[in-house]
Amino acid sequence: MKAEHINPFLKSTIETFKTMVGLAVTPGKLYLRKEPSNADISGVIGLSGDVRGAVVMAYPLVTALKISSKFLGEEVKELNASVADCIGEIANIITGFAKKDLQTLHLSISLPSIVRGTGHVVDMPKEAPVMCIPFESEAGSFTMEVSMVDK
Amino acid sequence: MKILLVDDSSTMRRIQKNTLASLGYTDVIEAEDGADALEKLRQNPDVQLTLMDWNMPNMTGIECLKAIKSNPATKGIPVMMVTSEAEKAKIVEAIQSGAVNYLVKPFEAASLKEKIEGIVK
Repeated sequence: MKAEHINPFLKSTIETFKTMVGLAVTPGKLYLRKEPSNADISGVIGLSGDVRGAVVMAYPLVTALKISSKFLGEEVKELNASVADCIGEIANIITGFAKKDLQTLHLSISLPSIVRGTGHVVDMPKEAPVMCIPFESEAGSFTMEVSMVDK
Repeated sequence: MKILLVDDSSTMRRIQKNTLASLGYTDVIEAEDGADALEKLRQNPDVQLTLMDWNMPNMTGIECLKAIKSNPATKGIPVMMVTSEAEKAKIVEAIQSGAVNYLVKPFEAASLKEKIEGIVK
């Protein structure tokens, strides 16, 4: 995976949260994953085309509830189907928007999958490094993980 | 103005319905995929605008768009694609298939308002 492939995801995440959720998110320093992020809910999008891989948006429960409340325009107090839908749709929009700037990779993206469970981890292809971008916002922190393996 | 909102995610339909209401469009009916949309259009010939997602099970948005435009009873109904599919080739395919406009997610309510007003004026 090339470093320049990360920038479209970075840009897309900032733009999606700003326009669809009304939330300013600030990226932290990019790092290579050594240990999987501990999350309570994750939105997972599979990538195929000239590469295979995945994008994982990993959230602690509190952050997911606050983001979903803003997205829905009503307060959500527990992790339910609506929160899962919100997290999936946000992952879908971010990846779809990033794809526009990655056309040389001929990417196809899967429908979003949602993983729920306190402190779960999402395993990624072992052949390639997993790039992680931590984000901070007034709704709390979350992490984006991107992995791509050349075919 | 009666609007048909087509999206397989009930949550996204709820969010978009709230956005439409904030813009003053409160007469909104929903469909959960392309096949459901065709049925809803058959039942509601007074629909004046359809907002269509692209990726849906059973019948995708582009398949539904083509079906709407090939049916004399529905071909006059404007269809705007509202989707995270942002590639130029997809936009061209939708416009060539008869979509009146195309809105890429993420979008702001103001963009939706501007596009709807451009269609119905």
